[in-house]
Amino acid sequence: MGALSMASMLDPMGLFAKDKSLVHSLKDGGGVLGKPHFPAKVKRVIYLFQSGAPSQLDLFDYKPLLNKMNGQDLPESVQQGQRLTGMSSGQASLPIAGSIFDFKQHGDSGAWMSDLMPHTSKIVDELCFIKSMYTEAINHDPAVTFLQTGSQLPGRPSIGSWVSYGLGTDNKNLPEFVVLVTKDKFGQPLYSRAWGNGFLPSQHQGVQFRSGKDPVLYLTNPPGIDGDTRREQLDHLQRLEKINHQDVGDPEILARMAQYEMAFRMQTSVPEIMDTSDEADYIYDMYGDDSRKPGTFAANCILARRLAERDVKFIQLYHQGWDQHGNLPNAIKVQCKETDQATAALITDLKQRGMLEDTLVIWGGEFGRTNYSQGQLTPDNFGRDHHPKCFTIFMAGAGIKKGFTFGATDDFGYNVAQNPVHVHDFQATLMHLLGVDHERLTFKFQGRRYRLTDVHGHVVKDILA
Amino acid sequence: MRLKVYLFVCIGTFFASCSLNAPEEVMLAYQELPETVDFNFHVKPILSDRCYNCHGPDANTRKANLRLDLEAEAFKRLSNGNHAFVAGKPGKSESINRILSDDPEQVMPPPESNLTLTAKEKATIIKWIEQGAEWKAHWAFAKPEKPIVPEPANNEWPVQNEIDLYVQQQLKQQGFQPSPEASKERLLRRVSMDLTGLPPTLEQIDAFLKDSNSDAYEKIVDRLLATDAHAERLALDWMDISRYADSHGLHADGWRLMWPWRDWVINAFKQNMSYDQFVTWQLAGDLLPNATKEQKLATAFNRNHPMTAEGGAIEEEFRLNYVWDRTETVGTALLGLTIACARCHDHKFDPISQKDYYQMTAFFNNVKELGMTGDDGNYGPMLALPDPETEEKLQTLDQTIQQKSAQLQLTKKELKDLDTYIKKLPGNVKKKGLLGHYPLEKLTSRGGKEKGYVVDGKTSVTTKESPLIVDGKKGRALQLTGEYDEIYLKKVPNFEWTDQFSAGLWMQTTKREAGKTQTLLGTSGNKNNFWRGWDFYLDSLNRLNARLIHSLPHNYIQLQSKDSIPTGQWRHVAFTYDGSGKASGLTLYINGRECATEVKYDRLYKSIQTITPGTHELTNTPVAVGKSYRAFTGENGIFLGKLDEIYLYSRTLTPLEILYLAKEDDYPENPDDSWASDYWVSQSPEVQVLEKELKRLRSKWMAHMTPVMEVMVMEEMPTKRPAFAYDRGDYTQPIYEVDANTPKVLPAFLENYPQNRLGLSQWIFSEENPLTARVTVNRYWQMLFGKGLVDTPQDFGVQGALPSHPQLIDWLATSFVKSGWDVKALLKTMVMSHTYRQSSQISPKLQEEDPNNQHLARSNSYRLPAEMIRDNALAASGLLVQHVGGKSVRPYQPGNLWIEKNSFSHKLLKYKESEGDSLYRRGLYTFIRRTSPHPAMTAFDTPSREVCTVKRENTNTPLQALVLMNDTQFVEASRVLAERMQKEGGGTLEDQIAYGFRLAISRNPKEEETNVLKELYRTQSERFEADPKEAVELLKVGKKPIDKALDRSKTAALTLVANTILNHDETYMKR
Repeated sequence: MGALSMASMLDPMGLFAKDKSLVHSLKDGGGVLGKPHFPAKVKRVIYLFQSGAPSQLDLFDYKPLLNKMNGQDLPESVQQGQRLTGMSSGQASLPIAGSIFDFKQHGDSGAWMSDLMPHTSKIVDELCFIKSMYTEAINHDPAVTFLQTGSQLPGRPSIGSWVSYGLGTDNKNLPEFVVLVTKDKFGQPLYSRAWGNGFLPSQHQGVQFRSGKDPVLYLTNPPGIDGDTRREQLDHLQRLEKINHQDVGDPEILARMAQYEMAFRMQTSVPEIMDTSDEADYIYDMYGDDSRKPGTFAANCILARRLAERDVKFIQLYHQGWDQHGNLPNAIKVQCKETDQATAALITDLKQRGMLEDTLVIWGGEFGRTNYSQGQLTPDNFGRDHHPKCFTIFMAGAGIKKGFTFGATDDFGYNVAQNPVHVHDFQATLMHLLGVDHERLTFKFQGRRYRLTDVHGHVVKDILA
Repeated sequence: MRLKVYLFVCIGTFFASCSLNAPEEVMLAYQELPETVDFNFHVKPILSDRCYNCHGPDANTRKANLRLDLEAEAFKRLSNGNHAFVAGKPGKSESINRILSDDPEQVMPPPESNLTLTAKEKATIIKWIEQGAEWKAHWAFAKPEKPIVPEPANNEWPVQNEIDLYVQQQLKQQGFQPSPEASKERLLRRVSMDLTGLPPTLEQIDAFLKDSNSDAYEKIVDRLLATDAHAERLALDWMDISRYADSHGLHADGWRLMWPWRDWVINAFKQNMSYDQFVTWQLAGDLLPNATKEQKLATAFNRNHPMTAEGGAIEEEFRLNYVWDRTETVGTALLGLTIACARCHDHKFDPISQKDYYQMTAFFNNVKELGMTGDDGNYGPMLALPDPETEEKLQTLDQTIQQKSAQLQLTKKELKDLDTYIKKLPGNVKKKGLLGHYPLEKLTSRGGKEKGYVVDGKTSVTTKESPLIVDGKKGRALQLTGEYDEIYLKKVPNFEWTDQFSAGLWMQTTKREAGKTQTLLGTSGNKNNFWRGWDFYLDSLNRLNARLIHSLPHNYIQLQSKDSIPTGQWRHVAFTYDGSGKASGLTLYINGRECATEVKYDRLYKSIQTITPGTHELTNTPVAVGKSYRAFTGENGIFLGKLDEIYLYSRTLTPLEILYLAKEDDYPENPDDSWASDYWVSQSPEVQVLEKELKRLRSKWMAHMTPVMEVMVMEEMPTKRPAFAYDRGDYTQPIYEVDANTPKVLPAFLENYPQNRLGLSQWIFSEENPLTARVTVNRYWQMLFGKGLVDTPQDFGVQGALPSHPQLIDWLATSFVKSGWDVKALLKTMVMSHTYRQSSQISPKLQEEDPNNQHLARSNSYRLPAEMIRDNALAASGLLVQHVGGKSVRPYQPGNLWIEKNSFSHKLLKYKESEGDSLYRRGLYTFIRRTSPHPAMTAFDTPSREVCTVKRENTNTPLQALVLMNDTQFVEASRVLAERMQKEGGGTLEDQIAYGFRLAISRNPKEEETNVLKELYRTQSERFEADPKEAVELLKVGKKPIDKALDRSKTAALTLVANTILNHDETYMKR
């Protein structure tokens, strides 16, 4: 939710162009770096965050051994005394639960996918899977916070905020960091800190765009006030402020008025983005039926593409509902139905427009799920608890290998067996793709230089194209 | 290509030694340096920021065994024979060679550190060495001494008090001069906003303008300092510092009730409680001798931190987070220290070790609290806050209950002494008060679509899976072997603690497991209903326990047997309870005999009747047998073994009756012939009457107690919980045990201080403490001047900013202590100064030479905090409701911001706007939901209240413009202001505009300003007259009824005028 605020959007071409020197001096796009540390492969990121933690074992990480051992207690040699959440650590047994979904290999790359994601299965040759992701947090709040801010505890800036702070914007009429949340999902909670600015100045917060009459909070004029009226009011306000400026001499007055002009322009530019009626029918068909219903994940995917087309730098979608402690086989079907087609469509659509060349799409949650059943395991039903030790994400687009799988888990799908990728490594890689050395984008706060990756993180060079 | 030149800067005898090879840019920078280079002000900031990472206090990351934060170490002979610094000889100083080196292998800081030194910084170090390399201790760690007050710098300059003498001395040195005093109107607005957060009323402006007495301003200041609004204004800053919120902050981010503490804060400021007392109460009020309710309430300060209720969270991980949060808050807020940096390792910059950090945490570790609490509600330790009337009623009832209890005991004894009883129990005694007998003989499938089984053919007794049916103590028994074998007994009354009840059963367990308990019988719930109910269980050592719970971890009773139950053997176990609400009212029996017990906890004062999780509605939870209702905690109380012959009674069974149950059908021998009398006495009319009366009194007591609100406070446990240092701050990696102590670099924690929070508070306010007073005066300076004398109010360490006026901050600090930590006196001194009163006008010279106003040649201008901008609009329109204190309110908020993010909290599921007056309270009272803060407040940089904040951001964004133009709150305020302008502002349009302008901006508009607004009015009024529907639409915004007597088109047009005024720079900027 957002405080919309974009230092970088101070428009030097606006009303006070003559007083440019008096407006806060900002480099090119307004980012603190001026330009990236090195040439960036990625100009913009669309992060499809799957909140609640999708089960890698029922989607991507094919483990036939689990089916063979279905119902048997998880061997201690695999579990190795690693901590469990309080939801399943009290269980008398940890019965192994094989996936009940069919896995097949797809595409030239031969990526394994379950039948839950038929559309994504068709584009696996565009994708780069990381099957060896792991995290430190074992519950949603700290894990989401960790993935989105690099720290498990509240208080640090989110990834998009760091990007905004470092790189500024390529579009002076829109925020550089936009958030879209699927409507009415009611899963595990979201926290505004996931797109918050932490200790960075608040103009780097993510701005939430939503379907409905007020696409950005407070954007719409009150009833009885139309755009012309507002314009007249602003013209008069400008005149008052000029008088004031002559009197007080504070350049801040001019900076403020530039923000009023920016606000006024946004009243047009944001609704334009949100009104997708100019999209062709084939687009709706490609993204699926849901895409005609504002607020759905599919509709948000279309919006994400529109924002990307206008060079919004960091576009973060949230889709809740992946937290399947019980009734996983039924619940995960619903989740996939809501996300599979639109995800594949977004990647295809970007490709068709030539935008996959410089756009990165990321799909993934905050941790994985256990290979044993939480609660009772029955022939057709089970649940899976939180599992930080391994999970799968996938990416598509600029700067990374296509049709590629990196890292692997053991036969139990419990521990990482090959090429572990820590959350900080993922963050370092993401920043690298944007042309940012994660160790060199820092902000001094309370005497210390903070960065997204804390004091850790290595770029995963093996996935770079 | 670097041009190398020789730098001959030395005079006299040094010339040979200090010629060195320096690049031209360094040489040029050298010439720009001040005459004297000071270690603290010029050199140390460079060393700390660029060198300490590898050559600082943290031993683990120290390179080359070189340490530059200690004098002896910095000047010592290095292993290669050189010295980092050689006083007077930059050429011989290894440090200089290194910082000037071209060689990537040699240069400092090394390339991989991503740190560099500028030419000026290199030159500074060179010059400092040349000038003798004088080392000084860090300014903020040395005790402030009252500095000599300077003579007036210029007799022409206005001086109101010592502040001006210090400031003007520096102005003179810098070639500036103070600005003249601001206009009366502006000054009045400034001081009113700063001290109260509200604009002056028109009457106040008129009175001040008319008052030409020399003390006119002082009278205003005194009046403002005495207002409630002033206390509220000070409280606002304290809320940021205290990370106050109305929600828990993590995961469900559910509801909490802490506002009575906020009221305490407001009241303390209102009374001008001395700052040392104000803080001492908050840190350690509960530890003061005969602590009062207010003193205990104050400690809620340290319970304002975020808490989690996330299912499955690991208890210790989060409990420690809370302990550490308290430690870091005290460090930041009171000491201006970034001690959090020493959580994972020794501090990189300040001489604070990891051990120092964990010693500090030990002060806050000894609280009986939970790491994982429930989604909604407060969790112990808690303080009940009955109003005086209720408190008196409770006390009176309590006395009566005690008298009646004594009477009952006496009556029982007298009756028993009569010794006229039959020596046997009546034949039907097992039926008397029997609620249920569960022989556990057989299972039958429930049939139909329902899964699971019915036990003993009773539909009220069910189990999901099928436990084994085995040979029992009597007939058959059930053997529980898994975690889904538990049995539920429905239709058992939902016991209250005023009820008598008892239970007994046969059991044989196969389990004894560390960290795991085994529930025999119970209704006790889970985190989301406070674990409310009762339970009878074996702990991890198989000791017998009985509990009656209102809320864990603070409101319950628990009795525990001293002996353990062996595995693999049948035992009869039972408990009885007498309805007293005391642990002494519980009795435990093993094999029919009362067993030795220990009271584990004895404080129950609210209902134990079971409620639903989430909604917290009364519900009759079935008694669970063989498993608890707990979830999420990793410990579900699974019983493994055999169970047989459960009896439940709605009365306190006597020992002989328990023995009877334990003997199965054999009538027990009356051990000494007197045991049966207990039963007969319990049945006598006298006893029954008294017990009935006691129950009535206790129920009445509880009826008064139930609605009493409670606040989370600090409370020490009787036995100290050991505190540890943790490797890299990982809760699973304790390194060594620590005792409570303060950082070594600061004055010692004296032996005569108690080693607890009270002692910590004494240390914080000891005369020797160099930080507390400085940090405090600096924060108040920041509140009034927009920027602290130390611009990093949260960091007085070596990485922090240096004071712009070192002597002034020490003068203020020492005067503050001498005044008895008198906050109002401190504020008065500040606002009385000319430095405060001067104009904020920016001349081109000042803009050029001191754009950040470091030297205070003018007053600062900056955007007001979110709350004041809103309060100002409400005050101008007359909407503001100035009710002091009370619960938080929910003003207009767009969208479904709460539910769209979070559906876990039942109490905060949907944002429900307040009605009536509560829509128009001051911003201080706006409900704070941490994970979804009010968007209009966030737009104006209110902190999220997740961590202690001593300085807000101050940004300028388009969203701020959108809020002021479109937020219902501001549109409504504009409309009501427009109505007020017509009703009170006079007959002409000019007068009405001027009236509105004055209300919002506290000055009369200039003619040209009036003209602009008149023009706006005319265009708008034409439009609304032509299209009255638009006017109607606009006037509908907000819940305040419109004044129908007024012309709608005119009101609508003036609404736009008023909204323009509310968007005027001077409404939201301090000038």
